[in-house]
Amino acid sequence: MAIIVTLDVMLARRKMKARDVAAAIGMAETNLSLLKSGKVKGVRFDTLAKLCRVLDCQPGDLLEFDSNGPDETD
Amino acid sequence: MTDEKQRLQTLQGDFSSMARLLTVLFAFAALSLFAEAYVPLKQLGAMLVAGDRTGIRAIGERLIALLPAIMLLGAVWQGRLLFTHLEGGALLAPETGRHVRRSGEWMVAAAVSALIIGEIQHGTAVGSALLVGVAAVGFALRSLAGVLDQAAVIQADLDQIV
Repeated sequence: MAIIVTLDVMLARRKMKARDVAAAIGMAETNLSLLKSGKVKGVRFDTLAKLCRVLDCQPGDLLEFDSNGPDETD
Repeated sequence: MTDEKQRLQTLQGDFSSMARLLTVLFAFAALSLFAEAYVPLKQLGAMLVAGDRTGIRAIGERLIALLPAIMLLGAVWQGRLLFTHLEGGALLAPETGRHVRRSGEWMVAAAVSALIIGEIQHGTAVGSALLVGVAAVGFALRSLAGVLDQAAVIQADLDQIV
């Protein structure tokens, strides 16, 4: 995917466990794991806001755009 | 509790009631059918044991005439399975469309078999207008199942957005 999720980098920076972040934002740990590995089709703004609040960061710290990544079309 | 959760909870209550109602209806109808079939089956058994085949055709016709009712019972059972599944909360899942489709198929089968059996046994399709209506509802349910299948695909896609 052209969008890369860098959530694991932010978790390492903040020295937080995925399980604790998932509990803090009210998300299942499985879903957070899927998000971390980029195996989701999208993220809701609401979820992004909660992650930014808990991790004290900006959306750009959690998502990167890879211009060489595959261009997914319908 | 959000409006959406409240609505879902209300719906689940309705589904639970429907599942119970259909269970009771199924049990009642199955018992009635069994009562209707019991005497002819017993006579058939006695005839076969005695080697007397004189009344077999008449008894066979009575039993065959019960087929449409058995098929409608199949539709009721599928309906019960549908509402039991919906009670679990996964409204837009592939199983929903599958149960609706099967209910429709049983209804079509019941109507068509009743029309054919009526034509063969009585020379006319008894209650044909009603049976055509039942078949039409069955076909409509099958079409609706297609819509539900598509909805399940969309829901599965949405579930991948966290």
